[in-house]
Amino acid sequence: MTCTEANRLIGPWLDDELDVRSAVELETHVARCGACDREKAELLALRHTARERLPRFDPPPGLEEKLLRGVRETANARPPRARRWMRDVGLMAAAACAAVVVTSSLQRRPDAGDGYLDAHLRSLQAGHLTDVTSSDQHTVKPWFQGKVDFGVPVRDFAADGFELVGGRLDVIGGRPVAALVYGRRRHLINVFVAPTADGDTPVRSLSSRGLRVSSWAEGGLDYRLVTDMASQDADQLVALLRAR
Amino acid sequence: MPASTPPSDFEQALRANFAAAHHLARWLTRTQADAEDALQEAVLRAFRSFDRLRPENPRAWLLRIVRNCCYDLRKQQQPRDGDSTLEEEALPPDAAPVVGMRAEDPEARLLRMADANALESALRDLAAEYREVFLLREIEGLAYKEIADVAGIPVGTVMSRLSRARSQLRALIVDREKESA
Repeated sequence: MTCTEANRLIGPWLDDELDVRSAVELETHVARCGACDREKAELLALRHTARERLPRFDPPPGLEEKLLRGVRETANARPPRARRWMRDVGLMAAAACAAVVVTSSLQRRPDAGDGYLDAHLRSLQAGHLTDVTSSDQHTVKPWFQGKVDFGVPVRDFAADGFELVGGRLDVIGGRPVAALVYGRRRHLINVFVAPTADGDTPVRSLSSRGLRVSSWAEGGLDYRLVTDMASQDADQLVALLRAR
Repeated sequence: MPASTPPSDFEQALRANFAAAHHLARWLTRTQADAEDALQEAVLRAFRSFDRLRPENPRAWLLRIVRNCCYDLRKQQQPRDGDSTLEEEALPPDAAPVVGMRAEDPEARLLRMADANALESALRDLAAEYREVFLLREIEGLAYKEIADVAGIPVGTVMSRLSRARSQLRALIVDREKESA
C-alpha cells in the first residue's frame, strides 16, 4: 500500500467505516510509516479536541418546553380555528364586494393602501385586534401555521420599545394576509404580511386619513406597516423589521 | 393541558434528541436567535410529518429537518447580507497532507490540534457543508450512512467532504498560529 492510498483511508479507518481487509493492510502500513502514523495521530487529536473540549451549546432552559407547547397549541387549535376562519372569509368576502363596488369607480388600483387602512381601523374595534394574543414570538409564529401557506416572520421588539401584542388573520383584496400587532405606548401598529411574486422593493411611506402606511417587499413577502404614531417611530420599527 | 397527559411518541423522539438538534442548529446558524428560529420551524415540520413517516431513526430524521431549516433560514437572509460562505471558490485551499511534507515540527502541529479555541474558530470559517459533516461525525458520532441521510448526499460524498473538512480544519488551525506568531 502506498502512502497516497493509505492517506485516503486513514479517516474512514478511524471512523470504523473500512472493511476488514483494507483495515488490516492499512494498519500494517501505518505501523511502519512515520508520516502516515503522524497523520493518524493528528486526526485523532482533532477528534479528541472536538469531542472533549469544544464548547457544547446547551439549549437555554425552557426552550424545549416552549417549542413543544407551540406544537400542542397548533395541534389543538386547528379544527375550531379553521371553522372560524371560514366564517370570517364569508363575512369579509361580503365586505370586500361592497368595498369593491364603492372604490372601483374612484380608483383603479385594487392593491393601493386603502384595504390596509381599513383593516387597520377595523382591528381597532373592540375584540378585533388579535386572534392570538401573546408577546411571545414562539407562540404567535406557530399560530399562523396551517392558516396561511407562507412563513410569517414574527419577532418581538420589546427591547426597542415595540412590544409584540399578537397576531391576526385578515383578508385584504381577497387574499389572506397575516397581521402582526405591535404596541408602543398608547399606539397600535399593524404589520401586514402577504406573499408576493415581485422582487424586493425599497420602503415607501405615505400618509392618508391620519395614518401612515409604509410598504416594502423583501424575500418574497410584501409588508405594510400601518399606524397612527409619529413618523420617526414608524420608521424605527420599519428598520427593525428589515434588519436581521 | 393537564400535566398528566402521557407524552406522545413525537414528544419522546423530540426530547431524546433536542440537545443534539439545538447544538447542530447553533453551529449551522450565526446567532442564538437564528438557531431558535430554525429550531422552531424544524419542530413544527417534524411534528407535521411524524405520524405519517414514523421514522426508524428519529435522531437522523430530526437532525435532517433541523439542518434543512437552518439552510432555509440562511437562504432567506443571504440576499440581504451577500453572505457567500457557500461558494466553494472562496474556500481556503486544501491542507497539504502531512504525508510527503517536509516536517514542520510534528509535535508542535499535534499540540495545535489540541487547542479548542483554534478549532472552534476554524470550524466557523469552514463552509457549512464541510462543518456539518465534521460535526455529525465527530460530535454526534453518526455513521457515514446516517450522515448521508441527514445531509441528503451519497455516502461517497460524505467521505470526500469529511476528508476535506479535516484537512482544511488542520490547515486553518496551523495557519492561524503562523499569523499570530
